[in-house]
Amino acid sequence: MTTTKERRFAEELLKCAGKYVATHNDTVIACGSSIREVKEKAAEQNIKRPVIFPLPKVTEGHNFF
Amino acid sequence: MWVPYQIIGHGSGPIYGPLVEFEIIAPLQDPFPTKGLVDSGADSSLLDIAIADELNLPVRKVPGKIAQAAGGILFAVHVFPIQARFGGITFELDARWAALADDEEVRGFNLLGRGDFFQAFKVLFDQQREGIEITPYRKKKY
Repeated sequence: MTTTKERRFAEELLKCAGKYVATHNDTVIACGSSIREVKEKAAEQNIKRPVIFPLPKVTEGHNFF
Repeated sequence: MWVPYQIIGHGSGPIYGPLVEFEIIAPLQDPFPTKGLVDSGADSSLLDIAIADELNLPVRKVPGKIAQAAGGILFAVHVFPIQARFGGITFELDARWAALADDEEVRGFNLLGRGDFFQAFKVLFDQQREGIEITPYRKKKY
């Protein structure tokens, strides 16, 4: 069963498709066009160790690059 | 360790995949937590060169090679091994580094492939339960 928190995380994550994303404890902290940008946004929220990763737009599965 | 699939996109409905958290360990730097797709179709791991730039890794000084992606697309990579950590286990990533984003948008995931991640961990995909079981191999004794 999907919880409200999981659903919100999924919704927020999908808004970041095509960008770099910073997350922390299954919460989307920030997204932006560079690692530096999301790192700075996370630091503004006092998140010291965000998980930062590239998130491409995926609409047909991951069978392409 | 059981890792449920995570949402990675949306087409006609939500798309879930084996996106896992791991850390890149660079000398004289704090570990860099990131995520990558566990990809049994990838010969070796592929990491975003923007991470190398952030960690001041001299990846771009290594002469580039041509790699082939699914679908036959050719792209440039730099081979630069690095240590990584997953589930508390440190292992060697014989990583290929490439630009996964262009000026417009991010185009690809970090990928954890067979040549290194799958050498360190036994990976069992469970499509029906929508997750993967990842177990560290015991180190070989010689």
